[in-house]
Parts: sequence; structure tokens; C-alpha cells
Amino acid sequence: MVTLTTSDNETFTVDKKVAEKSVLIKNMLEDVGESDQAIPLPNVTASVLKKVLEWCEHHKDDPAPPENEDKDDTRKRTTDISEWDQKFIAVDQEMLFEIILAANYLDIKALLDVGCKTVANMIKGKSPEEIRKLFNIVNDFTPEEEAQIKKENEWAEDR
Amino acid sequence: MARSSISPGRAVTLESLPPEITQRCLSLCDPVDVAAFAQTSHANRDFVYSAFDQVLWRELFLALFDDPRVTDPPTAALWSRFSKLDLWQKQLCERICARQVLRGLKRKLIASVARAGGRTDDPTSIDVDSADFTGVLKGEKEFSEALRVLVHVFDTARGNVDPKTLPVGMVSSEEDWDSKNVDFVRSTLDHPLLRKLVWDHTPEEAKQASAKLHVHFGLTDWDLTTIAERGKARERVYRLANYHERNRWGPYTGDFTRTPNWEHLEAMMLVVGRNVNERVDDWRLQDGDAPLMGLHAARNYTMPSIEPKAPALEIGDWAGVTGKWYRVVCFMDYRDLWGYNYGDFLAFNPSFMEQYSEAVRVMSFNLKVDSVGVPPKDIGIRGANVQTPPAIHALTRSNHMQDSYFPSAQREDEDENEDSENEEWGKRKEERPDEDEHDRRAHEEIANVYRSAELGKLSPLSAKIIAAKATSTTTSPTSSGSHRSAFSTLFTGSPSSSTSASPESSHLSPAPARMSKRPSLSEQYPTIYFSGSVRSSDAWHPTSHVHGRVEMGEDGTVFWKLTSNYDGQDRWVSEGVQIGGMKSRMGVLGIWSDAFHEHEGPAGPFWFWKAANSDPPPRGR
Repeated sequence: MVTLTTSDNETFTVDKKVAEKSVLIKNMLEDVGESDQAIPLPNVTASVLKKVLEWCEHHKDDPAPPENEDKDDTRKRTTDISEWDQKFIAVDQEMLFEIILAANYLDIKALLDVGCKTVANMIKGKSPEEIRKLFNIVNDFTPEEEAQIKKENEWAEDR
Repeated sequence: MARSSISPGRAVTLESLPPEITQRCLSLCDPVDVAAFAQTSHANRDFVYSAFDQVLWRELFLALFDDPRVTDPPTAALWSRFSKLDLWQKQLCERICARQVLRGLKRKLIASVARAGGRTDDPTSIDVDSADFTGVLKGEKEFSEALRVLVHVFDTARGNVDPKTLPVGMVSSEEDWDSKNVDFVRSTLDHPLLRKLVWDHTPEEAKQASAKLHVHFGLTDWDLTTIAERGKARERVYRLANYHERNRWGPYTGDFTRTPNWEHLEAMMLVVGRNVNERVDDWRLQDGDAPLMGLHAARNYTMPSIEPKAPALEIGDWAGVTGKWYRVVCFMDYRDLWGYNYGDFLAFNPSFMEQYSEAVRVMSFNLKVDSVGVPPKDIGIRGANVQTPPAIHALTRSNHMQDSYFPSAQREDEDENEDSENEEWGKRKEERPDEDEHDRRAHEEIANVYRSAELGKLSPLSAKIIAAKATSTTTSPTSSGSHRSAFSTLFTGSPSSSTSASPESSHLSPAPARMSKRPSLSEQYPTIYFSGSVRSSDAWHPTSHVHGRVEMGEDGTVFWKLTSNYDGQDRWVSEGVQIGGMKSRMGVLGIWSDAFHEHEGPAGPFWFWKAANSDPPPRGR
């Protein structure tokens, strides 16, 4: 078992197998060796870690990703997300981004993928105005700039 | 309590994510979505368009297309993520723009059918006649440009991997047979109405591009039933004036360059393909022997491979010559052919060719390799020396075997240009030693590609960029001259002509020994000379012999030449192009004609392809 401490000082005790879905934790355990000491995770809050561990628990028996991760070119680009992951990631936007940040920090590539794919799916097929609305982006273009920017993106226009 | 220790007191938003994560999200989107994202705010615009490198564009590009650094190694330096050429972005935008244009046309076509009251829910049964093809084509230029870009995507598709190069016991995986570029072309032209528009309504300036796509798509949709298009194809194929010395009586453009003329090849495919389609069931070919067309069959290394029984002969047989082939030839009755070409048949009956029904013969032949790289000694009379006394040797040697049309000096001539260019570049570097290091490297990078004459493989747009950069750094008249000749061919739909020279240049003295360089394609794949015997489907038809050769062009085009020899005399000569390149399943389309090319001599289309089965070994006679 491994004990983890969050930034807001909550502790979680989980199976080593579950914790090691995080490459960060896995490396720490390897460096430190077996120890009863809690691993501090100053970049993750309890509410987020709870979600992340839920994901790790469900995926603990997934085959490990191949060692050679340089071959980005051949990686599957599909934005399909498994059903369980879809339900898991059906959270409010803030939590979604928190999970992405935590997955990035903890180095859980598969979870980061789920998060990024979800964001990509949110953007898909939307107009600039719809994207602004969705993500609370403030339009800071002047009308002239807007015309210019439209021209710059003409290649992607529907004909 | 802090909501997040990363940005305490503030909600995490999309914009507060670290850039590498935003980039990761965007790289999973379609480029069109990224363009929408770029229009949301200043910061997001700069994130997409003013990034310090090309990584986002590269990721977007590689999600949809084959990696050009792999498919075209000489240009790899250009695709560095820090390259100021921005090729990832420019090429991607160009390709997506083409897709958007074609998608738009598809929508308009479907809408025009709906307006006319036709049903549009099932693309396969859509009423083609109610579509307004001419009405949707307002911006012809845009349409033509889109087709050229699509052909460029197709031309730069990743080739299949030679199954023989794989380790023993390893079956080539699905991935080896994948090309994102081909998938892109296929999915862009995914609607019968759009294909009809491209096949039949392309403006003149992009006809070669559309014809090339059509030949590789094979017979689709209405190709199998249309009467009018079949008639038009026959009119083109049987027009004897289309074959002459300038195109070597073959399916090439009439400028001595042996550049495939895709409009001719398209017509040949339509004429032979329709005839084959109507008869192939009667031929009772063995499993795997039937001819195939389409985007899969028109790819390299899709030819059925038979376990080599005699490995010694297979060495050097890069074209898969050894073995059994089928060939279909079509021909008009000579009186009809003459009447159509020189008489007034069309005046009497304008739909003469639509209603015509030519003769079709299928035959098979077994080929063996005679020599590789050097012509066999008794060229011109292969397979017939037994019956032919030496005295008439000279008479029966048709002069087309002498190959005077395409001077062998052309390549050296080009080398010479290249060499003088090399010197120019060398001088330039000496003249400006204090040049900014980065600029110098960038220039060198451009110059390298420029020199390596690989420009034909870049799209028109990127080629223009490089040309502009290259010419802005040099004032050499020779280089500007040679780059024009390279670019003027970019729009012909095939890059092959960039390696060609006019016949006048053939008298130039050979260039000094070439510098050590990558071997050219024709050096890697030397010409194969072969011969064999023919079995006709008709019992009355005499057994004949064929001899010929297969050559590799510098752009990967595989050229076949076949001469049929009856009773020791060369009779017919066939020139063709292998559709899909080396060892393609689809095989060779082309035209046969009278071996001596006498005035008013006949000609007709043919198609030949490799059989999956071999004939049982002949019993000892």
C-alpha cells in the first residue's frame, strides 16, 4: 500500500498497483524504496486526487503502454473514448481541466489523453463564437482585426 | 481553501492550461476546428499562428497525411520544426482548403438534386441526371486548384513496403498497407456526384489531374453504364492521330518526354475496363487471376506474388516480370477504324462510336527475364530465332527497338546544369562569408533541395515558396532557367517531366563524371528485358512470342514495352504505364500499334496484369 498526501493535507492510502499508474509516483517509489512515509503531492487537491485514483483503480489492470513513447507519429489519433472513461470524464469544465493538470503532473499518459480528447471533442465542429461561449473566452478583436483574422483562416472556410 | 494549488484562488480555464496541453488538445482536432479556435481571441490566434515552432501544425498534418520526411527523404531538412518555410502549416492549409472546396461542391450538388425533387438519402441510387453539374462550378479556378492539390497528395502517398524486405515469417501488417494520403483522397471524393463532377466536368486546365485520379479510382458508379462517356473514350482511344513519334505511339504527352498522358490512360481504362467487365465471367479465370482496379489495386507491391521456384531468375526482377500474365486487347475492324479516322463515318452517324462494339481478345503469356540492365544480344527477334534465318534478321528488326526517341544523353545534360548550379552556390558562399549563420544554414537547406531536383514532389505552393527563396538568393541565369523548367511541369499532374529534356539537347557532350550522389531510381532499378510465349484464347490464333522491357522512370513511373512477334517478325508494339507503380496489382494500361508505324496503321488499347496462378510446367516436347 502507498500513502499519498494532497496539497490540502488529506491522505489517501491505495494499492501500490493503483498508485503506480502514475509514472511520477512509480519513479518516486523506485528512488525511495519501500517506506511507510506518505508521498506528498503538493500540486493536487483531495477532490481531484479522488477522481484520479478512481480512474487509476478502474484501469489498474490495463497493459502498460509501450516503453518507446517517442513514436508519436504512429499513435492512434482517434478521439474515441471508451464508455467508462466518457462517464468518468463527464464532469464540469473546471474539474476536467483539474484532472488534465493532475494527469500531466502525475504523468498518467492515458488519463491525459482522455482529458485532451474530451476537450478536442468539445471544440469539434464549433464556430469561433460557440467556442468563446463554451470556454468563457473574451473576444478582444476589433472589427477590423476580426475581418483580417477571418481572411487568415479562409483556408478552413466552408464553401 | 484553495480550489487548485496550481492557480490558487482562480478557476482553471482552457486558457490557463500550460501551452503544451492546449497544443495536445488542439492537435487532436480537425484543422478546421483549430482555425475556429484561432479566431476566438488574440492570445489564441497567436498560439496557433505565431508559435515559435511548427509542432502544432506538424501534429495536425501527421494526423491526416503520410510523413513527407519518410516518403521523400531528400526534403527532410525542409520539414524541420524550426524551418522558416512553415511547410507543415502551408501544406496542411492548402490540402484542407482543397478538401473544403470539394466538400462544398458536393453539398451544392446534393442540394441541386434535392431542388429538382430527387432523393438524396442514398448516394448509390441518387438521380445523377437531375444534378446541376455546370451550375455548381462557378469558381472553376478554385476547383482546378483543389484537384491539383489532391493529385499532389496522391503522388506523395507513402508507398507500400516490399513484402520481401520483411523478416522471414513476418506477415506485413495492416499498417504497412496504409497510406493516410490515399485515405484522404478516397474520403474527399467519397460521393458519386462529386466523382461524376470530377471525372466528367473538370475544366480543361485540370483535366490531367482529374484523369489521373480517375484511373487510380478505377471504374466507379456510372462508369459501368454510361453510353456517352464510353463513346467519348472510344473516340479518343481509336483516334490514330493521337499516336505518333512524339509520344512514341504510347499513352504519353506529345513532347518527347514520355510523361504519362492521363487523359489517354483514362480513356483506355474506360474502353478496356468496360469490355473486360462485360466478359470476364465468361473467361473462367482461376481464383485470383481476375483483373482488379481501384485505389487498392493501383498501388505498388499489390501484385500477387508466387513463391519463387527458380530464385536465380528472380534476382533483379524488381518488376515481378517472371510468371504468367493476362492481357486483353481491343481493336476495331480495320474498315471501321479507317472510316472513323479518315472517312466520314461520324458525319453520317455522330454516335457511331457510342454504338460501336469492338473486338476483344484475352490471352495469357509466360514471361521470363532475359537480362537486367543490358539488352540481350538478339534484341528485336526474341523467341523466334529458331524459325528465322539470319539473313532476314535485319529486315525484321523494327526500328522502334533502337530507342532513338528518348536520347540517353538527356540525363547527363541535366547533370551538367546541376553542376553549374553547384558552382554558383559555391561561389555565393565565398562571396559572402560574413553572412548571418542562421540565414546561411537556411539558404543551404533550400539550395540542397533545390539542387536535388526533388521539387516536382512538392506541391505547387511549397515549390513556389522554395523557388522564391532560392531565386532571391541567386542571380544566376542558369538556375533561374532550370527552375522554370522544373516548375512548368508541376501542373501537368505528374512530376515525371521534370527529369526530362528536349531532344535538341541530346547532342550536347556528356557531362564529367557525376559526383557521388544517391543512386537514381533507374540505377536502383535497371531496365529488365524479358521474353515469353503467348497463348491466345482462340484456337485459330497462332502462338506467338513477345519480347520487351520494363523501365523505371525517375519519378517512380514504371514503363512497359512489349513487342509481339509472329513467325519471326515483329508485328505489334505496345507501350504502357503500370498504374500504381512497381508491382501493382492493377497492372499496365496502354496502347498497341503497328510495329513499323506505317501510315494509317491500326492501334488499340490493352490492359495486362499479373496472374496469381502459374501455368503447370510444360511437358517435355
